[in-house]
Amino acid sequence: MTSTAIAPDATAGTPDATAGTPDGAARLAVLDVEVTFTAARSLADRIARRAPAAVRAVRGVSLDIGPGETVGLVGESGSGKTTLGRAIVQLATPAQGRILWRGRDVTAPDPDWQRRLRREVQMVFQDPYSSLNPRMTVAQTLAEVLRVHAVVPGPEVDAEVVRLLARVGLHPSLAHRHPRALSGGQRQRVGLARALAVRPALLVLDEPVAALDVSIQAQILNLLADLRASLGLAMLFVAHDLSVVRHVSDRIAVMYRGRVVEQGRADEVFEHPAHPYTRQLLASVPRVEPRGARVAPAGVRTGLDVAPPDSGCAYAPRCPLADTACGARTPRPVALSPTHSAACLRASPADS
Amino acid sequence: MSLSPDAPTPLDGVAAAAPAAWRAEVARWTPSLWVGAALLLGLVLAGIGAPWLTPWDPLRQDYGAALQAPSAAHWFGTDSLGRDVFARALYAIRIDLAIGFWTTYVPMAIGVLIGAYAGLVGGLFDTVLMRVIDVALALPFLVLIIVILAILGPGTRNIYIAVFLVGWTMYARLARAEMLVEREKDYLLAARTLGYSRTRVLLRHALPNILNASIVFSVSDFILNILLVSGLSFLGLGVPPPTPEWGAMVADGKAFMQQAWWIATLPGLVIVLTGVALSLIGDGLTHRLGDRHVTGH
Amino acid sequence: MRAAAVADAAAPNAAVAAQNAAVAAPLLDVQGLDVVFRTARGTVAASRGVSLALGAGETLGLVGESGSGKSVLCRAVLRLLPSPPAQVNATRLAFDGIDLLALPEARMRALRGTSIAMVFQNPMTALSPLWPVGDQVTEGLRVHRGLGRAQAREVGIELLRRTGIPDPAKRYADLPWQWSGGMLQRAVIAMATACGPRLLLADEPTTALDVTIQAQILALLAELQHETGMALVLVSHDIGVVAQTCDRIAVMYAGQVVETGPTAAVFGAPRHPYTQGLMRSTPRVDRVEGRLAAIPGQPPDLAQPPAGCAFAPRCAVASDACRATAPVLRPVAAGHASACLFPERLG
Repeated sequence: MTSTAIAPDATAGTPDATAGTPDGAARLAVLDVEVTFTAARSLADRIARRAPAAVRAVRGVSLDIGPGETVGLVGESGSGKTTLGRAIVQLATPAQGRILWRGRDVTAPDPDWQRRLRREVQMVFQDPYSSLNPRMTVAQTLAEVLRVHAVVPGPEVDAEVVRLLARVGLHPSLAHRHPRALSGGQRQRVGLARALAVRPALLVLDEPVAALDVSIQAQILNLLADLRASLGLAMLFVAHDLSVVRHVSDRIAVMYRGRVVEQGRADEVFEHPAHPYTRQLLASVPRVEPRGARVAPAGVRTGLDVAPPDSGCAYAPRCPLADTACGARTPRPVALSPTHSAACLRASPADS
Repeated sequence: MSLSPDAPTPLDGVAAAAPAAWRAEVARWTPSLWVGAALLLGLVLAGIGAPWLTPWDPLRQDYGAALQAPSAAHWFGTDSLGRDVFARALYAIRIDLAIGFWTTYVPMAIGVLIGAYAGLVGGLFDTVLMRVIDVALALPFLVLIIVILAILGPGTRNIYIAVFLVGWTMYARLARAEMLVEREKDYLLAARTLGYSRTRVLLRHALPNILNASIVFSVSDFILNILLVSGLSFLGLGVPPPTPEWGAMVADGKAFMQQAWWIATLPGLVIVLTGVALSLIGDGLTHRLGDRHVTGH
Repeated sequence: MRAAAVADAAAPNAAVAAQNAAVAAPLLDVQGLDVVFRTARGTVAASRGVSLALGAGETLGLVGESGSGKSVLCRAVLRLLPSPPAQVNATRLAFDGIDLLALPEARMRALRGTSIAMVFQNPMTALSPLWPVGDQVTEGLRVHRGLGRAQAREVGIELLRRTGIPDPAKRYADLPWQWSGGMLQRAVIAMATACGPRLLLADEPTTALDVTIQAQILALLAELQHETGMALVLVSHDIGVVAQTCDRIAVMYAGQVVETGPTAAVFGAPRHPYTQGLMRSTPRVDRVEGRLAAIPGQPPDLAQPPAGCAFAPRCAVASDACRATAPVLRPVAAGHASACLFPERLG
C-alpha cells in the first residue's frame, strides 16, 4: 500500500525517498502505518514475558500531504483518526510502517532532526479547556515556546508574543490572563498561537472546533483560512463533522475502524462518494433545508454496534451492498480517478 | 478586533499582576482557613517569642517548687522536677512544629517528585516503584518507624531519618495517581509536541497542577507526624530528656495524673490546639484548592 | 403503550386537548419564565422572560448556543434546578393545565417520569454503572405503575425491542458498560418513554453520538412520537438536527427566545439577525462556500445582561435604538415571531 493512486507526486511515496535529505520539500508521507495500543503490562506479565493485550487503532494507513495543502481526515469515534494525527507528532508510535517528513523518518533518533521536527510540525488540540496549562498566563505559555526554541532573541520575546496574539486575533490585554479567564474561542486562539510560535510548515489539528459554539467555530475556521493563505501552512484537519471538513479541505480521507476507506479531492468525495460508508455518513448529516419528506436513514432499528469481523471488510456487517466476498477478504484501495480511491470491492470507476 | 501587529506594545511582565493576584487569592480564603492560619501563626510566634512570654527557663529544675498547681506565677503549674510547665510547653513549640514540618515536607518533596516521575514515564520504573510502595504501605507506619529507630537508636536525628525513609511512599502514590490523570490532558501532550524536555514537562507543567492533593493531605499528615513524634517520645524512643517536647511531657505527667493532672493535661491541650489549627487549614485548603474546577467553568 | 392508555387521571380530556391543543389549551404553557442563579460572583440571569407553548403531539426545536438557556428551560419545567442557587419565577408555568410552580414536591415527583420525561445528553452517565440496563429501564414502571419484577421484565424487553435493541431478552441483564453509546441512548429513551409520557424533553440527545448513530436516534424519536402521540421538545445546538426533526423552532440567545415559528419559516426566511447569523456561520456539507459569515464577538455575560437587545453588540444592522430598548417577541407572519426591533432590515 506504499503507493496508492493518491500521491500526486510519486517520488514522495516511494521507499527510496526514505533515504532522502531532510531538505526535501515540506511534504508529509504516511506509509502503511499501523498503531497498536497495548494494555499496561503487569509485573507478572513482564516476568513471564507475556505479550499484553493489543488493540489495533490504525491498520495500515497511507496518506500524503503536500506543501500548503489541507487534508481532511474524517471518521467517527474509534476510527483511528485522532491516533493517526498523534502518530504524526509522535504522541503515538507506529508499530509498523513509516511516517516521513521531507523524506526522512520522523522517528529517527537524531536530536537535531527531532528539534527541527518539533518546529516544523505542530499540533492544535481539541479541548480548549485542557489544552492550556491552567497555571500559566497566555504570555507565559507563548514566551516559553519562543525561549525554548530560541525563535527570536531574548529581548524580542515580548514583542513576538504580542505579534502572535495579533496574528490569531487576540488583543494584547489578554496576555496576562490565565486560561480560566478566557472563553473557549479565545483559548483555542491561544492554542493556535502556541503552535504558530515555532513557525511550523505543517499543522495537525485534532478536532479544533468540535468544542466550540457554531458562531465561534466559524470565526476559528475563517482564522485558519487566513493563516493558511498568509503563511502557506499545510494542514491535517482531523474532525468528525463532515460539513466542517468539506469547508476547509483540499483533499479528504475517510477512516473507518482504523483504515482509510476512501480518499480523494474534496469535491470527488462529497459529490461522488464511492464507498458505502462515505455515502451513509453523508446521508446522515442533518440538513438545514426545510424538510420535505423525512428520509429515514438505513438501519434505524438494526445494524447496531456490530463487532468488527475478524476477516474481510470491517464495514461489511453494516453495509447494504455487502455479499459473501466482502466477508472473505479485506478490500484494497481501488483507483477511481488519478486522485480518488476507495477500499471497497463493490466500488468501481464506473460508480462515480 | 482591530489590531496593529506592526506596533507591538511591550508586555510589562508579570510583576504588575502579582499584587492583584495575591489579593484575589486572599479573597478566596474561607473562614476556617483564616482561623486556622491565625492559630498556627500565633503558635509559631509564641514559639519564637518564648523567652519574652515567660520568665521561666524550661530546663531549670527547682525541687522546692515541684508539683505546684497552676497559679499566677506558674500558669500551667510545675512538674515533678519543679520546671515550669508553661515555659516547657512554649519552648516545645519550636521542637514540635519543626519536627512536624520537616517530617511532613521533606517526604512530600521526595514522594511527589518520585511519584510524578513514575506516573509520567510509566514502564518498569513505575511498576517496581509501585510494588515497593505497596510493601511499605502494607506494614503499619508506626511499627516500621519503631523498627528503624530500634536499629538506629532513639534521637531527633534518627526520627527524621526514619520518617524520611517511610513517609514519602504515601505522597508518591498520591502524586502518581494524579499524574496518571493529568498525563492525558492536552496541555501536557502539547508540551511534549513542542519539544520540551522531560524535566521541563515534569517540573514546570505537570507538578504545579498535581500538587493540590498532596498539599491537602500534607496538612493532616503534619498533625499525625506531631502525634507520632509525641508518641515516640512517650515510648522513650523520641526526643531525649530534658529537651521540652509535648509527647515527652505528657509521658512524664502520666505518673502524676492523680496528684498533678496539669503536667500531662495542659501540654496535651496544646497538642489539641495545634491539631485544630492544622485541621482548619486543611479544611480551608480543600475548599480553596478543590474549587479550581468551578472557577475554570 | 399508547399515550392515551396510560395518561393519568389528571388529564381526562387528553384526546380532546390533542385536537386543538396549540390554540385552546397548550400541553405545555410557559409564560415569562425567569431563572436566576445567585452565586458568590453575582446574579446570573439564565432565562429572561421566556414564553412558549407546545400542543399535544407537537415537536418543538429549541436551538441556541451554550449558555443560551435551553437546558435551563427544560430543567425548570421539570423543577430539577437546585434551589439555591437557582430561583425560578414565571407568570405561568403549566403542564396540561396544572400549575407546576405551585405543585407539591410529591405530586411533581409523580408527574416526572410518567407524564413528563427527559432524555439527557450523555447516555454514558445517564445510567448507573452498577445495575443491569433492563432493571433501570423498567424502574419507572415498578415505582409509578407498581409492576412486579417479572411483569416489568416482560414490558422492558418490549420497550427495548421497540427502541431497536437487537435480542433484548438476552441483553436485558447486561450492565451499561457492555453497551455502546448509541445503544445506551436507546435504552435511556426506552426508560424515559416507559410510562407513556405526554411530553418528552430531549436535551441534546445526540450531541455525544456519532453522526450515523445520531440519524438513527433522531429517526427513533420521530417514530416513537408518531406511535405514541407524545409532544417532544428537542434541544440542540445544531440547526440541522432541529430543522430535520421539528414542526416548530424556538431560537434562544442569552436567556431569551429571539425567534419562533414553523420550521420552514424560521429557517427559510429568518426574521432575526441571530438566526440568520447562525445559519450563515454553519458550514454546509452539500456545497462549498468561500468565507463563512461568522458572527463577530461573543455572547454577553449573563451576570451583566446588556440594557437593550442582547444581540446588538454582535449585530451588523443594530442601531442606537437597539442598544437602548430591549425588544420583545412580535409577530412577523402567521405563527412566526421575532424579537428584533427592525426585522425588515434583514436581507
